[in-house]
Amino acid sequence: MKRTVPLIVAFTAGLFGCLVQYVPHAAAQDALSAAVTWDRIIAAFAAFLGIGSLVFAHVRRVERRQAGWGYSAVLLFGFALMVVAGLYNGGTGPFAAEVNAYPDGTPTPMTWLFRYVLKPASATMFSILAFFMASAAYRTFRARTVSAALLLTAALIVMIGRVPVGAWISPALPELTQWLMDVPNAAVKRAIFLGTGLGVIATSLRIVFGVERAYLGGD
Amino acid sequence: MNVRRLLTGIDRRVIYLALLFVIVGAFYVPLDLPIRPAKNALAVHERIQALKGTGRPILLSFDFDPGSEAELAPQARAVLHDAFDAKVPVVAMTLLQNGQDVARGVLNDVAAARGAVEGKDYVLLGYKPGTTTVILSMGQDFRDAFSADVNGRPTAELAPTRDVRKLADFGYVMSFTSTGAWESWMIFGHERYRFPLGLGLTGVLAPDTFPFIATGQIQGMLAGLGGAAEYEAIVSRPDAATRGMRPQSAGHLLIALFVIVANAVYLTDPALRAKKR
Repeated sequence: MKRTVPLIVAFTAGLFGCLVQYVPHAAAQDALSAAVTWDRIIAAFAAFLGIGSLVFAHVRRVERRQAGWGYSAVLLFGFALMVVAGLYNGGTGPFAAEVNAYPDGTPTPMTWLFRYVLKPASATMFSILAFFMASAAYRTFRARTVSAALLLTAALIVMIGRVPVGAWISPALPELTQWLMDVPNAAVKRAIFLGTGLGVIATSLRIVFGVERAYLGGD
Repeated sequence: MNVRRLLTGIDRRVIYLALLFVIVGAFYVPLDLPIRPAKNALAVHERIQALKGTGRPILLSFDFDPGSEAELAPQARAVLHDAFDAKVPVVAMTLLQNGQDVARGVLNDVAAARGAVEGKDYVLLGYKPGTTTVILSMGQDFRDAFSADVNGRPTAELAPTRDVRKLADFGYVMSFTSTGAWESWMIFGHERYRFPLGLGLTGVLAPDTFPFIATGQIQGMLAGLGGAAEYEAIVSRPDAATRGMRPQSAGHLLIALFVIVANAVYLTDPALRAKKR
């Protein structure tokens, strides 16, 4: 029963999801609308579950003083700070419409934290990628084989052709770049998407028909 | 000193410093680089201009967080300027938790510069969890998905959304994203509800979309900061993206130089080629 009921639910839901795609009747579309609304509600609960799981994992790490527990403590502090600031909502509470600034224009605590802590931190994380990429490109991009040499040549053409200095060096560079994107790149991406699409269909059918049961967990 | 060994063994800190110097220095070099709009960027502009005078709104989905703001916010700004120029109503939303404040910041900036009025010229719907299900919900019944805007005003009463019942009622839908949200928009949005879909993507994601551009499933695409600069050139409003083209060009040239030098030494040194990785 513990395994049968979920399998029946998965089969029914999978079949329903498939059929409504091809049944234009109003009843089918109304059923889809209802299912989508339920799904949105479940997604919101899933967000709480994810947050709870993350918080408990880091609380455990702090309690047991595991390696890196200091970072977990900082995370929990930041989490608590943002939750309090969000619930405060500029003094109007969590059930009022979102308030981003006070009447005199000063940002609320939530807006201030987002604008002056989260945004710069996120931008910094992505900014340092450029330096890692430059170093990695220098150290590892080698034309060891013919295919590697072709890849490297194409990469250099696209890297220069996609920025304005490419057009300044030669008008042929942007044209060649566009051709590389439109023809070889599109062809290969198409093949990859076809392959992954077929894989998704196969896996979905396995789940719907109960062949794939990893999602049930347990023994 | 063995020059070959030196050229293939440059300390990574030297590379970091060189890149930093070149990027920062490029800001101060007075050089105007030609910016030629790509056909995919022109396609976005044509779609928006085609809506001039029709009263049909466009939907802009700010599906990115602050980490990608440097690449995608300039694209969104340029598109907003174009939409406000053409007097096309704008409806903004986001499928990402952190996207709402980013969207608000961009909208406030451009609206203030253009004198656009919230509720009359544009609406911010805010964030709803679920990505795919939000798109499906909007496609089935827009007002069920977003009954009110982010300020609590009913969408049935706001000018840009008054006549919108489903996604197909939008004249153009554009997602600015650094995630797989573009696939959800295409598979569950465009393919099911048949509205014209455009994308604003980071440079890394852009190559994935070319098969779908070729088949007409995606109608217009801006790629990275370069795409934003192209659009700024199209609407004749050079801004952050245009200014960013000099340092970006300099950075790309430097990385290309490093790769070329390293490979030139590698290919001309039998000892290096024989060395196993």
